[in-house]
Amino acid sequence: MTYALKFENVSKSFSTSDAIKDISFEVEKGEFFSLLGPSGCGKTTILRIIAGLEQPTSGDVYINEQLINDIEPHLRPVNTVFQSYSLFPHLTVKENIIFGLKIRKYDKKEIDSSLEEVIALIDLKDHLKRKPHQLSGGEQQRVAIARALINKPEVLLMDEPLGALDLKLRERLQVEIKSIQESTKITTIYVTHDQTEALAMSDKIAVMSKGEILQVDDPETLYEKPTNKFTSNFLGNPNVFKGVIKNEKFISDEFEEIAVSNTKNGPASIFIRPEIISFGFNKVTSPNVNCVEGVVEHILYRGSWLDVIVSVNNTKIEISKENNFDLSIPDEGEKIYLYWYINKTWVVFDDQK
Amino acid sequence: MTRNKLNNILGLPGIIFLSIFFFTPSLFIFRYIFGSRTRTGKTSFDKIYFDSFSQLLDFNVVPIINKSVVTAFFVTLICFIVGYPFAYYIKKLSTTMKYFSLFLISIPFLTNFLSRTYSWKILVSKNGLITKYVSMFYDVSSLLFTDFAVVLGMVYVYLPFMILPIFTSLENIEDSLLESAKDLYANPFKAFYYVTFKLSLPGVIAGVVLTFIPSLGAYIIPQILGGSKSMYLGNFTVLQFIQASNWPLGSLVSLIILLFMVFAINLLFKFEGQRNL
Repeated sequence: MTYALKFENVSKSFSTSDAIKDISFEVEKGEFFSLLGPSGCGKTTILRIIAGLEQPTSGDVYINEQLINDIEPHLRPVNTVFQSYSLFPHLTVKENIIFGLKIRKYDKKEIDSSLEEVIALIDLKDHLKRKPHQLSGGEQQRVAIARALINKPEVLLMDEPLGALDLKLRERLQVEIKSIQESTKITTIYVTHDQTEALAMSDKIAVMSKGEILQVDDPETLYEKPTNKFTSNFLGNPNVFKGVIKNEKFISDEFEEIAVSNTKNGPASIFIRPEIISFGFNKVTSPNVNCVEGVVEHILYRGSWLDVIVSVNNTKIEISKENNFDLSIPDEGEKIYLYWYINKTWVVFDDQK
Repeated sequence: MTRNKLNNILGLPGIIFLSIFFFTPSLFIFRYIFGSRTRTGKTSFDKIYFDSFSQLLDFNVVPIINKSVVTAFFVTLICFIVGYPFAYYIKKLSTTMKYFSLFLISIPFLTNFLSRTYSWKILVSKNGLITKYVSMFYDVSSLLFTDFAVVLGMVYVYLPFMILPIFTSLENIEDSLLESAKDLYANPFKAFYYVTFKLSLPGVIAGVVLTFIPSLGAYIIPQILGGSKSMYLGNFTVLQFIQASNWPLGSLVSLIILLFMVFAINLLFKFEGQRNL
């Protein structure tokens, strides 16, 4: 396998704190790789180390099998799309986009044809002569992407590129960025704190917390089979209960027994995602499902879906249901039964990291 | 509508002030140019005279204009060469040191301009500190009443006017822009030139205007450090008005200074307008 980017035991400490601790990962050529985590988890530091804007305290970074630790940032075959766009305010859109080519003294023909290629991917035709301050946020971000893309970098780095945009535009640009990445096959490292963004766009996601990578997997595995508490909690909005697993039963203060499919015993937490829980007005008895009784406490009407908060044995379980025509909405205070598949009850033991 | 009216009212005091104290005197000056100095020193206006224009050549004013422009040019150039790196240096200091440096730069403004210029007289006179130092390399006994002393004095006075606007424009440049230049293959030198320097140009232009204009019309510094033999446009004009009572020639020279300034400012703003295209 060929790796476009490899981190080997990379650490970076700042005078006051550790930014990242002993990070190792590999990114395949052409992969869309996301670094996902809350702010301050060190994901931007990783990006800046790849770009050469920060030096690692220890460890090695490789691009295409070549050690790049000591290579100056301007000689690295990577380009960055910064969160704040960082467009040059004194240059036009066109001058911004071709900056990287002009600096390296490409001749006019090459610049023109590269520009045309990029404009074909990213629609900026009408804005070429404008200054960045005359563009909207979304347009500015497109310019920033074009400015990086035109150089055909080995690795494209994107630091929360959509963070400053409103929801609708963000969703549109997610599709746009993803399709550009798929057609150009440029290896992309994408930093975000938005889990839905990471899930929707990535081939692989590294979940980070407090300077460490906790799990690297494809979006589906990550969401369905998280290996640790942090990932289970960070992705989605699961119902979490702490207790003990004994003989394929979960026992806690709130629950006498919830069936799980794990054979291991020991202290653990269970995660039940709101969307896997169904509800009805009659008790369900089946060897494949858990069923608990509860009282509807709140119903949050979200438009395309409903969040129902149900109080069960002095605790609360949140369920979320698509708002389709066959959904009979319960009343607040009504007694209902919640049920879900036993094998969908996700267990993370306390001794798992 | 009302907003516009309010705006006009806000401009009114300035408009009145400038009309009385700038525009009207300018008209007087313009009229005086076409007057003629009589024997008693009064100016005669009985017809349109062109005496002042011919005197421009008779009194050898052209070399004076030349010298003044060249001097102002060099003063501006030296201020830029010294001021830009210094402004850059201050920008890189910690916040406390930054404001401390700016405070130090502005201290001379708290001292009277005349006394500052007189203290330069001491420095460049026969036993002055600067004369002593320069005489180690060149054979000079006194630097007083030389063009060198005039340039030195002007650079001293006008340097802060170069440093401050450049500092302000450098201060407004975000560090992230330099990072993205580096990310786009610019080595430190190119990143400085294409980003830092280009973005600081408005400050440079302001600095150049603020240095060149007063140097061109300077009167006190050439008078004190240049002596009576060394003529600059500023003291030549004063000479015409006060000693020679030749108001037509004095007025013409004032107009010439004004035109040079307008020309210089125009050139710079044209350059500023074009550089982005």
